[in-house]
Amino acid sequence: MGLRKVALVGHPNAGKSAIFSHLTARYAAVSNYPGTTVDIFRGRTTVKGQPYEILDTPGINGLEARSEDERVTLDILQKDRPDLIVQVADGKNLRRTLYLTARLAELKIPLLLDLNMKDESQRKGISVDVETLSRCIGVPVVETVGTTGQGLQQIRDALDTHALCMRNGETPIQWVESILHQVGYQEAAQERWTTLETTLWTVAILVGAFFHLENYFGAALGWPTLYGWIISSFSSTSQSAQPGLLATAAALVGGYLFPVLLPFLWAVRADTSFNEKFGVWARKFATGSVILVIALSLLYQLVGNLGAQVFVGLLETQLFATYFIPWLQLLLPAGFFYDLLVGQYGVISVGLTYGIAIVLPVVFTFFIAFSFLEDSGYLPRLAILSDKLFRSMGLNGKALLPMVLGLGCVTMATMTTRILNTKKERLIATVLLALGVPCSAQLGVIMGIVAGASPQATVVVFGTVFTQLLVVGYVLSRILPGHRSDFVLEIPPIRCPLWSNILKKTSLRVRWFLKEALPLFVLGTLILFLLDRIALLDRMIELVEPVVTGILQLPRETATVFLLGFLRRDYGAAGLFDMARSGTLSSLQTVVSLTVMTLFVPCIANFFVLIKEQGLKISLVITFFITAYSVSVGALLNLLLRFLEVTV
Amino acid sequence: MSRYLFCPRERMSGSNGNGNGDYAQQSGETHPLRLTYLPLETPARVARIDAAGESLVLNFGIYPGVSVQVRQRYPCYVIKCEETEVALEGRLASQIWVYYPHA
Ligand SMILES: Nc1nc2c(ncn2[C@@H]2O[C@H](COP(=O)(O)OP(=O)(O)O)[C@@H](O)[C@H]2O)c(=O)[nH]1
Ligand SMILES: [Mg+2]
Repeated sequence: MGLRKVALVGHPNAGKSAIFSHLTARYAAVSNYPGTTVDIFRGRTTVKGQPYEILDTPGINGLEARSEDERVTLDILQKDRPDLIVQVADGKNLRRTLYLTARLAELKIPLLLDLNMKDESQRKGISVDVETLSRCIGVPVVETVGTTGQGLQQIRDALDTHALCMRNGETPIQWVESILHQVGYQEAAQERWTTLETTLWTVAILVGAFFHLENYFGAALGWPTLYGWIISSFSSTSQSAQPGLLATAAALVGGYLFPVLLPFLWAVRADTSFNEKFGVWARKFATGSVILVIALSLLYQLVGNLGAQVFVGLLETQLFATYFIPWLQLLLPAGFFYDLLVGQYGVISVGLTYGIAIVLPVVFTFFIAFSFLEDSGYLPRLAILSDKLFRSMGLNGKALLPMVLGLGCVTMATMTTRILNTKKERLIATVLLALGVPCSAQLGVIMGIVAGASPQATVVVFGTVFTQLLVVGYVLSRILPGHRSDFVLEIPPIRCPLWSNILKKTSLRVRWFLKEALPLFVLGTLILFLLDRIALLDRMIELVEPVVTGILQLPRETATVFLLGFLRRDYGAAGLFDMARSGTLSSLQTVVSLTVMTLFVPCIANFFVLIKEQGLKISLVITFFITAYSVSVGALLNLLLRFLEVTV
Repeated sequence: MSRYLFCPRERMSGSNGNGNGDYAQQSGETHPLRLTYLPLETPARVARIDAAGESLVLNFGIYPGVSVQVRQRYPCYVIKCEETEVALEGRLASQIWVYYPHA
């Protein structure tokens, strides 16, 4: 039997990656914001002896690509033509879902409709008559819960579908409306509470309440027929109880109060859960700013203090520097291997110490916090808050997503710039990422250093970097051709992050760090060691010395650290951390070198992704620009701080 | 009570098929107004969408006949349609015209 190709397709954030992870043994990153998946992810599964290749795709909104990530999916659909499309949809949004179904039907590829998020739909009181719906559109419809895997068996069972979605010459909109009509779709929340209904219910509730009171007091007087009708249609007590003046008054008051009560009722009838409220607060300017400050300080506490101070203290100062390294130094006889492993540029004393004892605890705490942020649905709300800021840089709020992801790893974030709509936006975001967005390890190490220094140091370093991002962004938005796209972003509901998913993502990222970054740490140290052996290192340092000691007024050793920084920025940052803790750097020098390192050239991995996404020429230009720029900013900062005699 | 009490099927057929149907005459409602003038948290039916915003909002399930409400204006607009919340800038929001029954 040949391999059948099945593409999971649907709106962003509908749960495709969650379904994918359940269908195949592979884990695809699941996060609560649109744009998590920016490339095709493939996995295998076998059902009844038939092998299937399952494709997880970036979300689409229609058949017209507006951004690179949508194009990736549409290319697969239109050129590769899978054997089956499984449309994974948010069951709460049937109209929108069917609109995409209508568009997918144009492809004439067998289809299976999966209404995901069944748990949330049920909580909202939305139920869909699956059988009728299936009959109307001509393809199987299943319901699933992507987080728990409920209903997944139905998808497996239906994988051999060959049915095409039916459309009888209507426009997509007419088709969708006629189907919604046929399935008697009750629209959720907002539509269920039409004005008249709300009026009637308000009145009924008030009347009902007063009726009991009236019974209690035993008053019995005549009543107008209209309210009698209302009561008899809504209140079960009306049959037995005597109508009364009080009821009339209540009804009148209810009707009178209605305009006042209306907004209140809406607020009540709408979702009242804490998550919902938090979601609203997080996207309003005043409350959102407060939440942002709290979130940032929590992050700072977690990564800067717990990770970079406590954990690093335990691992580096206690374990490595007190026991492990001295012990090895005693064990090894002086000579080549001593130098190679535990010498000045030793693989263990520098490479592994930096990688495992300094950077690992930092990235570990950061990844936990970061996964939590991703899964909560907070990030899109932050995009709303920062929209205006990004507009001044020729971007829009959507650019926040790659920027924040850049804190995880600039390399991955550079790929995420695909979700931006225009070429110009992608270029600006890429430059800003390479210039000033520190990666998690680097950020953590910086936090660790400044947390150990002074509050002013924190403000100066982050303030300078932030201002430089604004300045460069503003200038680029002015000089680059092209235009900014309109800000449109779907805001997912706030969801309680699942610990299992957070741990999964954290462990995946830590493993990724150990696999990708640690070898580079070792390799970097080896290169340094060799360069040192053949006395080339001194030559190279002499070459950059005028810049480092002359222009930046930093100690000579900092040059080595900057060289390391090109291999991996966090490696360089770890070097600075080491120097700052051992007192080689004055606090002013710490601030200057940190700023330069943060603005400094992208690491090698980022450079390669840069070439892949933007081409060699642009990448070289970006790299040269950034190197020159970071040094100039560092020099200026140094002069300024010394001139103003600021103590940091 | 279904929404068809307030938005009967017959009206839908009045749309011209490309998603831009303007059926003010049949509906007998007030003149459409821009979404940006709609009071907060008040559902209103979409009348039409100006060309510049059409393809964008269509993909979010916002098209003539469906109900939307504005949930926030600042720092940027947040509108809700079905169970989808969409953040969009004011320039786009003003491309959407709605019938507001109590205007
Ligand atoms: N409550 C609930 N949440 C879900 C369900 N399926 C997925 N999610 C959550 O929805 C978010 C988006 O999921 P993801 O798989 O990344 O969506 P994708 O963008 O379509 O790949 C994540 O936070 C998931 O945990 C579901 O059935 N119920
Ligand atoms: Mg995904």
